[in-house]
Amino acid sequence: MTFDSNPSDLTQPLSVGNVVNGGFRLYRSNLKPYLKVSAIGTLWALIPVLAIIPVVLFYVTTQRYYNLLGLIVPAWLLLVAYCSAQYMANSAAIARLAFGELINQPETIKAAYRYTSARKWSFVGMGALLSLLYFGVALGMYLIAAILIVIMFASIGGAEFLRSPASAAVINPGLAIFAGLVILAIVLMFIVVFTWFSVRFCVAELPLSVEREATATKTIGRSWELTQKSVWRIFIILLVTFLVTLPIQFLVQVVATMAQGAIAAFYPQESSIFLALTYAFTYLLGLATGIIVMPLWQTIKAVIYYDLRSRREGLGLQLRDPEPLT
Amino acid sequence: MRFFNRVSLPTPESVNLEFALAGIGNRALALLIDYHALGLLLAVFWIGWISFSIQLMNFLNQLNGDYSATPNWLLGIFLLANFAIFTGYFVYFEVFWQGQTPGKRLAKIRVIREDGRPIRLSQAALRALLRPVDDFLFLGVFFILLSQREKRIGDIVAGTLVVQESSAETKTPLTVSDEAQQLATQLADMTQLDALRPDDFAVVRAYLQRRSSMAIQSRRDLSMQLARQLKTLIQLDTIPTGLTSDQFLEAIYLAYQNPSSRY
Repeated sequence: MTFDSNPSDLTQPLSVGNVVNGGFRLYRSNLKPYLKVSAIGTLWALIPVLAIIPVVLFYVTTQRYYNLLGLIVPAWLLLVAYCSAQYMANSAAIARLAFGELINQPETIKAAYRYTSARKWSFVGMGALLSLLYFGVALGMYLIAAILIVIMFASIGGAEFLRSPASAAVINPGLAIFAGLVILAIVLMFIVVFTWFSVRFCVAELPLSVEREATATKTIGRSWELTQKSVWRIFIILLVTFLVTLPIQFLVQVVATMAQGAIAAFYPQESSIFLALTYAFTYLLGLATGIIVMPLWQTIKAVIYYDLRSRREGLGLQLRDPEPLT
Repeated sequence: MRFFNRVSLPTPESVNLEFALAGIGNRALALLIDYHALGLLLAVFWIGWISFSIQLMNFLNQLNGDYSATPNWLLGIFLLANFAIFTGYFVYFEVFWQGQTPGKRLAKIRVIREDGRPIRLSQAALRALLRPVDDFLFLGVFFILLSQREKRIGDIVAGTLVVQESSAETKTPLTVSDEAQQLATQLADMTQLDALRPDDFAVVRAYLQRRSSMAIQSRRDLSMQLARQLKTLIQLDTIPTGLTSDQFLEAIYLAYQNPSSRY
């Protein structure tokens, strides 16, 4: 065994573990700036939630003026759209900063945010398109599942059963077990198909954050094209990242339980103050966790995108700048 | 950005060995694989032990005698055996596979001692015994993420490091066309191949090795771009007609790699 350990440099494609390492190292070396951008983005996402509180209080106390809702609801939806645009611009800025470091062209937070903020409505467009796509996938899956279930139901004598429920005992138990297995298979198929699509779209925001000519539609196409031959590998990368973040979630759970205990010491568990405080604290804790975890996913996605481009497009395979002829 | 966390270990021979630490990603991946293998192993053992216990009790019940203590013994042995399998899995592999378990082998990482030597039974045992604390109480992740040398508690106590395997250069033979081979013999005379640096050659080789997995359009663009740049570097006026840029790059690769044709 050799002790001259020298893993390949950046021009080589990265292994699964090293993509995850890359994300963590990027995050660790830029902890403060990334947390700051993440906090700003998350606060934007908090605004629509906060805005709804006075509205609810207003209607709870007055119990009238419901006509106003015709104005309030569209206004609130606009607010949601604007705030999610801001949130996406901020989270995309982190991905852009991370990618800049990977290609040795680091940027300031300001410059990165200026770039992604100018495209914030494209991010919203991308999000809307992705939702539509997922909706379409779900619809297709439901249709397939429905057809399968109907065929199966008919084949095990379901029609007979509908006509006279008393004949239920006649149904072959082997067939019933088979039906159970088919339903299990359908559930598995749902999970696999959704995971597969999520992987194919997982780097969708990156091209929009770094490629000049990207648009809301093109960026989805780019993600689709880049992830083509790497679905399984990316899935493992995301799974490993998720596993590493589990202890953080666990820690949060512990803190939440402790806080609940502390609150219970002051207020009786059935009181509305106890409920309100517990909800508020759990929500804030979730928000804080989001602020901490979001940059990690952004850096991981940046490394995945970088690695995919290096594999599929030879990113980084550059000769030195030709020397000027003397 | 420094992609790898590198450490330099002084040896008794006063030679410094450099390693890239495994990192949280590789270690989590290895753990994921190892726990699946271990889970399978334990499942097989459980099924075997339970069916053995049932048959034994059936047999004993036919005899005359008081065997009421037997289930407790069976349970005790079962628990001990679980512990032995869990610990033994890691100790066995880390000792006999020179610091690797099946998961670590797939993730291309290895446990070594702090002075770079392979680990022995005592280190492997300490790591395995402290593993429940690191893995099931989730302490290991925080220790690895926050410490400079990425040591979990078991590593600190046993005095071990987890490093990446030296990646042996993959010797995938490059397929090179006949036209390129012909051109390669002429290139040495026609051009200034000496103007190429080893880095340039490395880029050409990396392109040729990885081109088959690239997207068609990107591959075409990159190939053209590299060929144009190389043409300027080696002061060749025009790429011989009828050759693709890929073939030109292959020819440069051959001519540069084979010094006998250079002079």
